[in-house]
Amino acid sequence: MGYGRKRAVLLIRNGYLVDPEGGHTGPGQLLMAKDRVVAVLGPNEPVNTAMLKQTLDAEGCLVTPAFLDLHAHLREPGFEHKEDVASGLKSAVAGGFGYVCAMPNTYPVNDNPIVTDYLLQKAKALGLSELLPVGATTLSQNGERLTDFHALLKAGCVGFSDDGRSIDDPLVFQDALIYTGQLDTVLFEHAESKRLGGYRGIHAGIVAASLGLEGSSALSETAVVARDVEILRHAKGRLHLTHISAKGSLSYVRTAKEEGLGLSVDLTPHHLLLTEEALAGFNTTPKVNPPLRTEENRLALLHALKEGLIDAIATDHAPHTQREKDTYFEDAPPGVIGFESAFPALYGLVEKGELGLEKLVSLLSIGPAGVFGIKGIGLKQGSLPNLGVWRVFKEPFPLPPPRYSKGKNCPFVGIETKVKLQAFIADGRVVYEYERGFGA
Amino acid sequence: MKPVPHLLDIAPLRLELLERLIERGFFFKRIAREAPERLKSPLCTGKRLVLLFFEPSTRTRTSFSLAAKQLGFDLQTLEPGSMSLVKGEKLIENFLNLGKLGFDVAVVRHPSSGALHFLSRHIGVSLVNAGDGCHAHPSQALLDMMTIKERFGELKGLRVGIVGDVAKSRVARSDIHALRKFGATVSLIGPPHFVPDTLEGPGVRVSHGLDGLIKGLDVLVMLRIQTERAAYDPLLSLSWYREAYAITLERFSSLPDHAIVLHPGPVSLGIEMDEEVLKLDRCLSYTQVENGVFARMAVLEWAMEGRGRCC
Repeated sequence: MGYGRKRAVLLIRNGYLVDPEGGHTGPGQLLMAKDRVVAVLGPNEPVNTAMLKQTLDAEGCLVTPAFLDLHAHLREPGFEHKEDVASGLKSAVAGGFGYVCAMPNTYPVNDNPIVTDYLLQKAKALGLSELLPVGATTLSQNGERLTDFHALLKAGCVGFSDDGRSIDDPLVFQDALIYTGQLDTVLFEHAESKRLGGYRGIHAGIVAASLGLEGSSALSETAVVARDVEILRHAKGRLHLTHISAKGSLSYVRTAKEEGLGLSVDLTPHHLLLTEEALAGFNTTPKVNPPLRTEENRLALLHALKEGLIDAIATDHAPHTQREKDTYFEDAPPGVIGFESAFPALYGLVEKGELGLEKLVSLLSIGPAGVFGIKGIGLKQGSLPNLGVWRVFKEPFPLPPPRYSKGKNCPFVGIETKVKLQAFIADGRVVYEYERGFGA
Repeated sequence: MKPVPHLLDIAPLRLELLERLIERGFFFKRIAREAPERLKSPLCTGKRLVLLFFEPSTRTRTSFSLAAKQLGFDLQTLEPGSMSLVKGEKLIENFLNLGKLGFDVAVVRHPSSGALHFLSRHIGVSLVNAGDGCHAHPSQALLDMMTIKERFGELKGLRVGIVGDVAKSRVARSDIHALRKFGATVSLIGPPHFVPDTLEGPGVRVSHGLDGLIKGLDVLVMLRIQTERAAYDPLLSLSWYREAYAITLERFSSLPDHAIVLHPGPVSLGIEMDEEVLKLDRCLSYTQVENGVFARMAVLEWAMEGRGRCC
């Protein structure tokens, strides 16, 4: 028995390990300390449990690393009626997410270290998921003047974004990229042009045409992606394109990656699983920017995911209250929630043989971690001791409404799934169990 | 909440109901001529109807108002001036109040597509859509079908061209649904900004030129350019538009001899249609206005008839 095992506090046994790097996938046991995974053991290896605080029986469960969400809106400060740090991070944990990037479009905007610090303190006190603040790229996110990246990074920001809108001014965009290179950080871009008809929450396709709604064409995204890649080619730096929705964007991504530019991309579960059809009858729940598009676009995204062009899946968890969404289409705010439904909904792709289980887990864990160069997420000796334990059922069941988010705008409620999060481990401690909630 | 019938859109209606409403419209038209004192309906007499128009209207509003009076409704007209900038919350609260005030039917026009669908989920007043954004204008479609049927006897097999700003036209959308249900084929004609390919479907084709098609049309529906719905005007010039799409006397002469021209109004004379054409016997825009009252009587009566059962 090595040095580490003496400090072990938790044993997870009888589970099926899903190692995103592949090495340890299969039946096994995990011995965890507060600060790391101490040992990955075979299913029948004897373990002395006398010194352990806790043993978790994961019979019939998948054990995955905690997921990292590159894109979420926790709404605090300013919009606590939609979500706050506590409800948001509980919802994240209940969806298996141990690390959450919080977008800066709060009130006030996270464009200064005071807001960053406030968020980090709030999250730390909860002891659940780790909050990774994303600072605003420009002051008040108005697209005009860059924030003090240097000060925000010192305060704990992990990257920069004006999420909710693109940076229209090409000069500001170029300069932001130059600074990401200087300061070794990442610029997140929501690529969508308002001038070309973006931000209407519905694709300019047959559904919008029949409902008499003006839709957003794929061009409103692809034109911005093309510009962004061209500027990246000259400015260098690190660019992350979030929630790509259009087939046409992928060729620019492919070219940029082939050239070795500093580009990464994520897709959302809703763009991977739903199409414009979800908005029929003026359904406001799946109204999102960029919008759900056609089956052709959806299949192209899925194909790109399978061939390895995509770095990560991110939820764009964007909570709104029932009351806010229950209005006529143009009046409804864009956004869907995603923490608690992401893995159960995406698991359907594994069931259908569209995506390998390790690949899916990788796109939710080491894939997004790689966008920042965060190390330690995984299922090997020395990995961070944060895990999800997912019970797999033989028969499919309808996905229940999310339990912890204040937002009710989940587009996946009622779809069939076979998994639910049985337990979540943070810092080597079981912080959540399905039956007992967070009281355990 | 008690289920009440709403007329929100043509799309979900069965053909039999459309036929019945049109026949009822013709019935009212005949009675109006022969025995106008018999127009009052016992179903509607003394029932409360409110007209609520969040957008300007001359024809539709007057037409509904006349229809309601002739049926014997107790008619109220609310001026939404103070509610002109409505958000969803405020809109719904106004309507919840209408229910409490004992209204049976509300005839509503709203600038936002789907506004009435939203309201119909929350209130127990029968809603009749008098136009929602670019989405639907079902009573206009009914009066258009009445007008076409009156002329041709039936709609099946007719070739109908709709010319103009179809993308922003709720009239066109409702006409397309109705025409398709009756078995007519539809050509949507205009520049790409006005007639996007996404409007194509079974029996509905998109074309960017009028002259190649005009000889094969039985009905030509002309639409106005809806400048009030566009923040940005994509047209090169009105003179270009006129040259390509306007119905001038010369272009009218290319139509087959039996063909008719409709226009839901208001007509922008000298733009999409010339005054000389408006005066022709085969331009039926005044007949449309006349039929409008009877089609709307049929709709309002149906709304009262259906109360208490789910539609």
